Amino acid sequence: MRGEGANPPVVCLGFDIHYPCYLNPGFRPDMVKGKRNPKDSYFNPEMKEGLGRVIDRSFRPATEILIDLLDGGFKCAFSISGVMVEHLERWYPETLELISRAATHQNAEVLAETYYHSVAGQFTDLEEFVDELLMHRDLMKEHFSAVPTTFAHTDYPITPATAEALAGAGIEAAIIEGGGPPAPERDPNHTYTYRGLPVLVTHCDLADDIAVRFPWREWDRWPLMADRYAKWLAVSPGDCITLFLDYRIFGDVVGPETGILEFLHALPAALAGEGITTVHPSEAARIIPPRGDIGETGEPGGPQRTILQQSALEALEEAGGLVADRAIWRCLLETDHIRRMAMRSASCGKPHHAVSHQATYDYFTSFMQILSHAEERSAASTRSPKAALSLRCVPPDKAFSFSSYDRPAGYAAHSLQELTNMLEFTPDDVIRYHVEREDFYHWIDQVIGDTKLAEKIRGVDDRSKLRSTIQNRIDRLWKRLR
Amino acid sequence: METFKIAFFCWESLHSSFKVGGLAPAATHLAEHLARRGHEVHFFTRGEPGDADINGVHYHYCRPYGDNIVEYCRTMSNMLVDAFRACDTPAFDILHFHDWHLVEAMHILRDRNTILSYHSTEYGRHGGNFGGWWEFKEISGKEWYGGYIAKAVTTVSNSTKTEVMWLYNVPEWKVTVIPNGIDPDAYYARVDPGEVKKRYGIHPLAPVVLFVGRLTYQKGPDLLLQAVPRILATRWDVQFLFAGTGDMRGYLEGMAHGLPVQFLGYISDREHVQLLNACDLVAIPSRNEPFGLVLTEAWSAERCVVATDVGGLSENIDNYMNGIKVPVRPDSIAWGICHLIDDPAYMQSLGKAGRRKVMEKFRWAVVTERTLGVYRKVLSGGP
Repeated sequence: MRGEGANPPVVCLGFDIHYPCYLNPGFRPDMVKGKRNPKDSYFNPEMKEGLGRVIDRSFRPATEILIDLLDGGFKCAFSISGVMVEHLERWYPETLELISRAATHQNAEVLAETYYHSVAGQFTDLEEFVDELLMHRDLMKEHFSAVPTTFAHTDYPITPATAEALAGAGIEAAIIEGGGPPAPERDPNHTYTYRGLPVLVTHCDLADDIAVRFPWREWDRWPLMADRYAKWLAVSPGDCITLFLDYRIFGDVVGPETGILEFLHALPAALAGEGITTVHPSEAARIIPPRGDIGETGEPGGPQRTILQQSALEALEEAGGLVADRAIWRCLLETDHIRRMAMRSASCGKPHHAVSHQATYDYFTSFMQILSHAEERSAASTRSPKAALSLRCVPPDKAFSFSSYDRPAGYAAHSLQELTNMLEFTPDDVIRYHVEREDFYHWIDQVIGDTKLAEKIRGVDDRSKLRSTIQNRIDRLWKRLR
Repeated sequence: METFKIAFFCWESLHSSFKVGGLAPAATHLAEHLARRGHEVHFFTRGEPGDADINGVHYHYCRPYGDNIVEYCRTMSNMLVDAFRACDTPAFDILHFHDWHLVEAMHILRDRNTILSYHSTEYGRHGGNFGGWWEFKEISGKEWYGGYIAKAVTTVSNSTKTEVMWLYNVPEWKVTVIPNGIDPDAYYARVDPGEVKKRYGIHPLAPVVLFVGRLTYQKGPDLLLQAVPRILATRWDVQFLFAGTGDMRGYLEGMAHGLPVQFLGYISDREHVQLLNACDLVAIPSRNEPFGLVLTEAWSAERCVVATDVGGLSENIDNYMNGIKVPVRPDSIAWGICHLIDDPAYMQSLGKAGRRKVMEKFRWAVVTERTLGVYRKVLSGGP
């Protein structure tokens, strides 16, 4: 709590305008038979209608309110994904027109992000990340005549590599998510630098008051009114509160009947009543002196991924060289897919969908089925279809599950590459068990379909020999494709 | 500042060849920290006969014998009193006894400024049960007598204080609660958790629940093991490591068949620190815990804990602030672990809050100062 007479912090409010490309949860390979474009089977075929509903419930009314508020001197920022602009342009041009009025308003700032709202920043090779960043910049210039300089880095933790890539691409500041490393554990309400790049840290609790708890009648603070919320902000210690919210919260995820739109409408006046000013993120990063560098804390990188997320991300990066249709691959890069493979209690301003572990596993299964199918389909058009098939990933029901005599080891390989990676640490008795039953041989021969490699490793029980044989084969197969 | 001449009586220390339990580090470190502040500390204990000066503390060893534990402690008491008398000029200011083993020496020296520290009670060591056998009665009798003749008594937690007041009628004015100290930096290490997990054949991203302690009824490893299937029912990839050994090991290994559980047996200090810093959560399922050094060790490594709501654990953990307390039941332990394991960021923040509490309350500097406070009170002659 701050003392009497201290200045209240400034507030940076950002909205993430995006509509994810949802997977088709009922996807089965036989649905694609005879179709020229499998995209409709992979992804939600009713995307246009779904987006239409979100526009009616949320994007249109919220934007109309915001334009009003911007006229009144309120400042906020928008992060609009490239695919979002594409979809609006194709299906709902009048909505694009409306959003464009808000985004080009003198009191609004347009933020930088990845074109496909993608996980590419988590890959070892950041080529796709930088490509998308530049594509997005060009699009923003074209549509909103703005060159964004602040990057919304809120879907996964910032790393030294992404910070460097951002700085190299002319980004001057980033918004990162609070509530876990590298963000400071306490005191999110300051500006910091991450390896020299100025960063703003979102306040997860205050964001979730709106995104998660607002409609919840059992909450002891329900109903939340704008003036009470403004009071909370006013007494938060620090210089600058950053809130970055999914735009769909306003009217779609949290329905209009809860009064969320009225809340949004009343917020600027309530903030002004508490003496709080709103600023653009780029402005906050420029004028508020950073409190310190958080890039060298040595915290091992951020909220931990789950095993499923790791398998999916690895397969996804490999798939960049295997899926012929870029559009399909890029739809699979969507951050929402990876997010749904784990449960999390804090959502930091995103729609909350922690359901059950079964649901996260099912989502992973659908994801891998689609990715695997896309790779199989693309194989025929590559230079070496056989090599492409050997390198593909397989869905969980065909994965190689490690086990020992008496118990499962707790992980499964979905591709040859993942198999060698896991052979690094799997215990000796597990390897012995599988070699005795010739499991490696059978899986490589019958599931992966690489007879030559299968023969080579048949009977090999030495860990490093197994690994080097498979790795050499993988390297050779990749060479054949290039 | 005045300095004291202090005698420690404790049947084990870190610097002798005898098997070391939890008592040894507590008494040894306290003696060393007192010595570091300029006090003259003599440590009377078992070991190869002869004297030694280690880290500023003067050790006096004896080699006791006896047909049973009570007999053994009687000879030890007599030998150590002889050793004590040999260096009693100038006279010792304070005689600090640890646990019941040397109560007979205390009886001989009962007119001096004696202090008895209960690190646990016989009742507590049996998981909160009374035993009908003669040793139980003999040891309990000694614990009662020690509390009766000592000028001051310290316990490691409020629950042990209540326990000795209830069991042995020790008057409240005599008892001061002084927790076990810890050197937080000795348990904190920067490790790559994934690399450590791989060494145990565990996927680098699998959440790991660690149990550290003797595999005995008191420590409740069986409760944690019974919780494992319930945890796996909601989260399939959790792995469990049990470090330590004890009389329940065979039984537990049989029970763990087919489960993602590994028994590591006795582990070195280095391995202990690495595991603490690599695991995701530390489980402390004890049935009785006077203090619970595992708790402050876990906190020192910024790990969050799920612990049973007993004894020192119950007192020191602030529920949902630096750990989760659950009833002594497998399904409750499972609930606590499931509640945390999905949320790495939350677990980290609980662990960090625990570390802050250690720095505030359990560092040796704090504990040594409070012990000196008890010494001064005894020397000033009043309660």
